[in-house]
Amino acid sequence: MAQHVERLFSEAYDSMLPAAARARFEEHLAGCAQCRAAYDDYRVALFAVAELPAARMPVAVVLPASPPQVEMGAISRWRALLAALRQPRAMAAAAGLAAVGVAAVTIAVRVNHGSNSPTLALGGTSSNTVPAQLFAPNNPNGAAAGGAVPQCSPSAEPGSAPVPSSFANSKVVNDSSRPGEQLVVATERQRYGAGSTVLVYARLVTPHSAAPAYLPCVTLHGPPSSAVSAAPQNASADDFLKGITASPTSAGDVTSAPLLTVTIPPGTPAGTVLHIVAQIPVNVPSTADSTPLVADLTIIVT
Amino acid sequence: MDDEALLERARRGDRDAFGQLVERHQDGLYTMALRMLGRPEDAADVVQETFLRAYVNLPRLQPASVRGWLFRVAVNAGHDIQRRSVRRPTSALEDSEGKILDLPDPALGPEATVEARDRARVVRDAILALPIEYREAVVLRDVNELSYEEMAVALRVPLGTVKSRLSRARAMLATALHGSTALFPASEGHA
Repeated sequence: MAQHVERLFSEAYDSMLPAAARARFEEHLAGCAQCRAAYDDYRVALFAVAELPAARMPVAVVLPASPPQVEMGAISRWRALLAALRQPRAMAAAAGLAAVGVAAVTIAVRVNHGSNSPTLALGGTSSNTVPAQLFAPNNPNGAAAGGAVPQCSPSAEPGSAPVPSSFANSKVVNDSSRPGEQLVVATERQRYGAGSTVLVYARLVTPHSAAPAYLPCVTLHGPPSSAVSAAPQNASADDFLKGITASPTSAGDVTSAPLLTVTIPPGTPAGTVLHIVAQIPVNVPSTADSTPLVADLTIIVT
Repeated sequence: MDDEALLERARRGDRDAFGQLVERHQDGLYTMALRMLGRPEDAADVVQETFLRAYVNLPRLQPASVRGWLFRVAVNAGHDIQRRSVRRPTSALEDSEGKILDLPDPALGPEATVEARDRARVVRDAILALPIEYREAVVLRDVNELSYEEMAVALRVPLGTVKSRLSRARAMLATALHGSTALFPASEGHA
């Protein structure tokens, strides 16, 4: 009867049956036309699976520019933050950011196109001033104005100034669900001394002629609470982050590029890792964009 | 140099060693994800996500089988990508009426004969129609040729479960393909 040996087909096909079982299996097949035909069909089906052509990965794998971190707490918190940012709604992302307990400075980015240039104010401001706001769950005084959760609303850009050629440290993120779109965050280099100023470029390039570029939301993330010992002068991680300021700026021949500056506090220990995270939420620029984009760029204090 | 030696070098900061691991496994992982999910863009996302997760976790990685572990990460990434793909009306594999879609397959080059294309399409759709746990088993073994031990790592199940799940998956697949004219042309007089 066929059912007597069908259960052995898989291991027989893989030549995994012990010798004695194999002998009994073959003996049964020799005397059972039904099982023999069933096993023939079985093998034809699996040969056809094995014959399916191998495929080649069509795009290059992109890895973080920075080396992996050894500090476990930082990794898990960082991954939790990224997971939170990937939630479909900006509010949820901000709430998730608070929930994972990562102290973060929220920076507003403004284009340097003149007085009429659009302003992206992640902290909710619409004035020309661009404050750095501390967004930390354990520090209500430093939270966004009025206790409101900052929302991310990238603004459209009339032109698509490319990354300045001198910006060698960059992170580019694409998503197959967003054809032709590219989120870029870049700095001139990866290593900066304490007290120095970091010029940051951040932009989403789109294939749409009406809105060729968007300014992403940008946040800066410093050492997690567990790394307080790395903060200067016995300060807490929150105090450390308060010392970082950000403002829009221009720089010689790159005045048309969306730039902001970040000043690293003097005394910051060498080896401190900072993350500059650019984010484009869902529904931007199109309501069909159901996947957020997150570009994480690392800079290291030397 | 074997995978484990490359991983050890990568863990010590050798970026090129990690690059070699990517080069060595990216096509196998992509093929697995393509057979598992059916959509080339999702498959590419799985591979990207797999190596990103592997890279981030390098400092604490000590897998017995690098290949099995990479496939495990890829299987999980495939689950995540399927879960968060809200752009599809039902699933990656069916249209609104539940009919399996005839998806373009980038692995089928222009040189494939009509017969080979038909056969590949029928087999591919039969795999996609399997419940996910059986689909994983048959793809890992019969497409990617993982050992039972590597499958146990990839699927996080005991060896006995690997065998029983694979046996069941193959039986379901053979039943689905039984009598298919693409595999068994009438001219061959198949009974």
